[in-house]
Amino acid sequence: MKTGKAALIARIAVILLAITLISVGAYKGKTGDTRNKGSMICLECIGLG
Amino acid sequence: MDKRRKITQFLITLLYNPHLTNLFSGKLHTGKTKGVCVPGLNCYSCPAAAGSCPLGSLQQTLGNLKKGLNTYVIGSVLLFAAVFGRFVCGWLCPFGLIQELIYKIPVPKCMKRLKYLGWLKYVTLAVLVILLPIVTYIQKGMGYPAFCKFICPQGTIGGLFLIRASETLRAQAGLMFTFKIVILVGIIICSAFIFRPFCRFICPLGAIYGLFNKIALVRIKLDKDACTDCGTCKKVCPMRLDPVRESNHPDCIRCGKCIADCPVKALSFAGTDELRKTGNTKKAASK
Repeated sequence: MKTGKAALIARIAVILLAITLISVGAYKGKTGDTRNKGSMICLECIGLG
Repeated sequence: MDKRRKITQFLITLLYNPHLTNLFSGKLHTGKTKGVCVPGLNCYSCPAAAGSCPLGSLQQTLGNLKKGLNTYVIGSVLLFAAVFGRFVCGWLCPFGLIQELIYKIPVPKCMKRLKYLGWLKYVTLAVLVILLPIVTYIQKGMGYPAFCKFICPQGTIGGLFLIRASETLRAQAGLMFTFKIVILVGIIICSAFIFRPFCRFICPLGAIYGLFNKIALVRIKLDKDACTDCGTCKKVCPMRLDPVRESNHPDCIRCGKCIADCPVKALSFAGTDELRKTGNTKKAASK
């Protein structure tokens, strides 16, 4: 029971932290950065870098 | 369960990579969906890819710290980890599907657990994903995504389509490309003999998700009162785990084989047996 409760608390904490980080990142325009990077050919990724 | 999982894996692969005509044209999708990190390993340089790879995005942010950490990417990875754990590996990763299809080739199989090799993925995570991008950023002002550059077989597959379509890129293919092809071929060959060798021993994304397996929302639940310790779950586990003694082990990909084959239904996905009981109660009431 104790392990179950600890896991539940940890899960909620991580999910809340994740949502906070995503929100802060989205507010600062980081989704745009991700999109820009993803829209360019990553030469390293395909073995040419 | 396995049929349902295979269908899900195929659909997810298609969902991550819907721009199939780009495989022939060699163009990349540049739309808004590229701003979304998909949960599984799916290189954003694959021409058909609609979203971004979480691992590639993570390395890019660590290799370019002057722009500040991309908390959106870090938060996305944490969210997938806390909700799904390695369910992503078992159900939502295209490269996992590729390895499983290759494993179906009828050759002798290695049934050993090879536990000691499992640590390699944490070394890959620490050195190639975290350390090297930061170190090369400090040294040169711009870090490179070391895991993508040296290892990632999924990126190599995407690269093959790009290189096939572009003479300019073909001219640039050199020693590093050959090295990556060797890595890809090695993993493909190993996949015929060992179940998911990349997932078990190399994948740093699996390493991250595995750390959250014990607390993830999607996890395996054992009913200790119902369990007769017959050992069936251990025999059928493709990751060579013992679900009774190691439920929610960091290597468990939640394929559900142990759940499907348990003769006394002692194993279930957490939350689903409550749903099943509610369903049975409603059926009995309606009769």
